[in-house]
Amino acid sequence: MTFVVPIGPQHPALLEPEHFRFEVRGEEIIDVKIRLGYMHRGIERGLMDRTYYQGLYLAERICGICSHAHNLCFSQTVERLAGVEIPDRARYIRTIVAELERIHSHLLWAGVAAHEIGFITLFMLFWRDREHVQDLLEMISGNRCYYSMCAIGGTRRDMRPEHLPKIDRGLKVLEKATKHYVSVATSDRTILARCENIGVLTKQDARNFCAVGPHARASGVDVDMRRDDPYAAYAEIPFGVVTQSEGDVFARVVVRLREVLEAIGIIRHALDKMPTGPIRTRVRAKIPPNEATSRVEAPRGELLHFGISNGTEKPERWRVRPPTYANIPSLVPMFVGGTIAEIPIVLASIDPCMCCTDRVTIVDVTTGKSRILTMEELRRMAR
Amino acid sequence: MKASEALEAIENYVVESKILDERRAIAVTDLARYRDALFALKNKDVRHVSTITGIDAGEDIAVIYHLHCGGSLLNLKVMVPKKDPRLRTVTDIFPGAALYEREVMEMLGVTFEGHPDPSRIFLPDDWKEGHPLRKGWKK
Amino acid sequence: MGLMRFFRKKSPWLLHFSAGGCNNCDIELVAALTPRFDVERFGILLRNTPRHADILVVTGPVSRQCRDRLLRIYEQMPEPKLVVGVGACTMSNGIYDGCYSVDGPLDKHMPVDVYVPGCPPKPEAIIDGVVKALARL
Repeated sequence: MTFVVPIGPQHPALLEPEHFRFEVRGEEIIDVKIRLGYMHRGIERGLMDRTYYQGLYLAERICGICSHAHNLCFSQTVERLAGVEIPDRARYIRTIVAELERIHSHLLWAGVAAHEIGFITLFMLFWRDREHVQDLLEMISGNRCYYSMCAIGGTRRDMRPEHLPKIDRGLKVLEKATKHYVSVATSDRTILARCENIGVLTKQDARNFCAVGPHARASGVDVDMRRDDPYAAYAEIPFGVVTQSEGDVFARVVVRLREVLEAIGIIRHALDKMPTGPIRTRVRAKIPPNEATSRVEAPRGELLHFGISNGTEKPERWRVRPPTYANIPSLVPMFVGGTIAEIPIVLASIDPCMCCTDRVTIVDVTTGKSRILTMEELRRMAR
Repeated sequence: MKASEALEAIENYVVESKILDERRAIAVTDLARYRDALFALKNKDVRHVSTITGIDAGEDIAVIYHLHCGGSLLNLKVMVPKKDPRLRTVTDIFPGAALYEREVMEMLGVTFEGHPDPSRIFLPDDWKEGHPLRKGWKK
Repeated sequence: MGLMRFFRKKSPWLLHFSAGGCNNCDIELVAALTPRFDVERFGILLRNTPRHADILVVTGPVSRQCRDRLLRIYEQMPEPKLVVGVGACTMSNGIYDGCYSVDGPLDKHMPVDVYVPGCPPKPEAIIDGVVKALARL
């Protein structure tokens, strides 16, 4: 007999539909099947039907949270195809916006994760502080989201001297708040109880399943595109790659919060060493036949764009592999052996940039019964 | 690993190869030897498949494995005839390649034999309109 | 009846559904709940089930995979109900127009009371849109 529960959307925090089918024995999860596609919009096809200049805006809208990462990776791929070097000042501006985006993304995630474990006040506090980053991004680019700061050949806008003191003030507020959150996260008993030893991903599994980003670094995998395959201004800026070894939800929290502090350091260094000069080189609309790959460390991990040009204004082929896509397979070893109640926080801990499923299917292999639960029901079970 | 070192590891299994810059290399292999090339890279501690791209190249479909070799990126291409678009899965070598193979299957109609779960991944359940990334495909 | 209208207007409960968009409109909608904008002080709450909702807030270009769920949720909402489409995607598929997996605009599938343009609209604009919708209750 199958039970079907009427499906309803969840709390908006975290809402992109995926579908997971969990096979359980009692409360214990023994297998997971993955079905994606609720967000599928056919963007690769869309990028092939548009010119490079039009594609820049579509690529940016692949994801709302890491929009600059896509914007940057796409521009970099086109610039590689065209064989163009962009001005130094543009590289530094791109780096600063990328790190501001990392801060906004990690704070957003932290709020969402707090919400998943029932800590609504902390969710509100994270998102309150995140507004400082939104203000800075709006000041620099003109928009809170979809900054479109990268143009093909450089940046769309320059940074002005009057921005600097405001950025400095904003960073001081964020640094103080984040240090406070790190101390809260590492000492609060509720957070520790809900996050330690939950959803463990071993280093071996992280490597075998090709996990990326803070998710992989929390399991001890020392990989970061900014250091390993440098782009923009990262080769010239000293920074630390944050890793933990436990591989549980708590390690992921710590890695992301510490990365916010590193990001603040990178922005300060970049502002200090920012070269003067032009912000854009001209790139012709028609790009001779070539192929190029660019990789960027988006807030969630390694983002890859692969492009093939064919002498026209439109690409022959464009491939986008966003970081969350790479992290989905590693969910299986994280879930298996855990309980149903842990599903929301484990899912949230990979920082899925496809919203988390609005429902999951639970199949009990001993009884053969299956039921569909909404995320809200899972959250209630988890509290 | 530099791009040149990655190419050295697979030199016996490729038809042609090219270094683009310090951290980028491309190589073309064939159906008989692509798995050997991947094993050779795994022996050099390459574990990470960044993604797999499928491209409609007219008579053939190009399947490109993008491999992260410690900072360098190697694009390893194997051509599969459109008349018989089959090749063996690489999920036994790189378990993380599972979802990418599923995507190439549904977008281009290539079959990865031996794949543990060759079900639909992105296209809607009721999709009957063919393979969207094939050339000449129209909505 | 006048009293019921008064209560509904003073405390509308919203149901949010993301119909396959990029998620930015969803984030700006959630940001409207957070302390800087604090939409709860107007009596606006986000609820989880269609049975309790007065206003359905939809984001995204209605991807094919989401369409049936969206319609089912709309049908489960009791009258009187309002629909607010947030973002350019609900109005015209936005930047995804022409992509094979999108099936907007929103009014192709249900009557829409208010559209909030933007990509994404700011939280202030979303609140303004919801308030304009309430005038139609």
